[in-house]
Amino acid sequence: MAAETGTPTTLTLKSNDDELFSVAESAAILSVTIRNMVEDGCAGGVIPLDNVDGKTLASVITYMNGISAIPADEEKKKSYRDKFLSDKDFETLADMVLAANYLNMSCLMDAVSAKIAQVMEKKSVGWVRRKFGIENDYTPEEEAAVKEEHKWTFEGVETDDDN
Amino acid sequence: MICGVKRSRVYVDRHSRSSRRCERKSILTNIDSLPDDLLFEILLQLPAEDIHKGARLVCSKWYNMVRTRSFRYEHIHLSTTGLLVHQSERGDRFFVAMREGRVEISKMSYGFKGSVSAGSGCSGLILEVDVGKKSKRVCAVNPATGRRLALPPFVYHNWSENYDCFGVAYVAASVEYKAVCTYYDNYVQRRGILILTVGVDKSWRHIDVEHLSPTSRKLLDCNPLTTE
Repeated sequence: MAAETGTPTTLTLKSNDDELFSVAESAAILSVTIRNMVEDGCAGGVIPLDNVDGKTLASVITYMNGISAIPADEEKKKSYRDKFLSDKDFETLADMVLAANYLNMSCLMDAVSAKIAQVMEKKSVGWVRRKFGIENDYTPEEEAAVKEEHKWTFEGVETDDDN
Repeated sequence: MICGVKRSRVYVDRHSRSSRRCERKSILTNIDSLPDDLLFEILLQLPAEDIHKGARLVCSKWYNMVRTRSFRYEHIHLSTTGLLVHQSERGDRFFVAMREGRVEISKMSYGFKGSVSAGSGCSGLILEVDVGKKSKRVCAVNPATGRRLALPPFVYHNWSENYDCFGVAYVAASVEYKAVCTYYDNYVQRRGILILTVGVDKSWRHIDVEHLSPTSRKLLDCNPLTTE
């Protein structure tokens, strides 16, 4: 804590595209990265967050404020997280998972990872590759061998026109 | 002023990835450009069934990731705890899950092969004991993925075949499963123990019970066999 000046109650965060944000210290320290800076006494001025853009940082701060306003009630926190992430598109979620990792916010990290994983559930391999732009690097022989490992487990997957 | 910035788990330079991101604007997202440990976190959130039916087959990177010990270890720890209830007369199986103070009962769709006389489960693995006419065959089964592994056969000496029990335990420290079988030896008139590390040992190892107290030995007579 900044001993001489007393604990600052508001922190200023700067995104990598030079946007400035004010956030209550009590909310910002949900990020272990920021908390460490506060504890080391180097959060007095502007805190540069070189790996987070303004749009994502605004979102993360909304989350910080929202979740820290909820008292210790895991059920309510969970429903806030669900609601918070419900309208986010995939691009945003990918940016948020990077930001949550950089800021070291495990609760947001887990929630966003789960949300991304949810999209993949019960989907065919072809759908996942196409949606996420993943190149199939298996040779036809390798792919057949991996499938052959447990062939009968393919029942029950949602089918689509591609694979 | 920038002290502490690099304390997060991974330092990711998003700028180096930005050109790749632009090329992929038409695709919903860029999961492939996420660093490996973030992909790890995401795949970890998938149910075992989806990892087995989907993620594993997407590309070799994903396949290799979900096969690692650390992935399996982490995945088990995130899983829902519950009881598998087996009604032996009707063959119905239910999974009773305890999640956030609620109890959820679901019917288990996995069909065991053969006649299962005794079973035991731990951390997602079930021992399936198929009683044949001449011998018993034991398989370790992961009902979520459908994978089965036949365990090495038993060598019968003087067992009373109807008095054996089976158990399986998960050893977190070594990320291994141990299968245990107790049997009644007609010749020495007492119970013996066989143990096997699933997927590692080629044969069952005999455990000496000489040193056990009569009370401890009596515990071996209990069926079903429970493990800690």
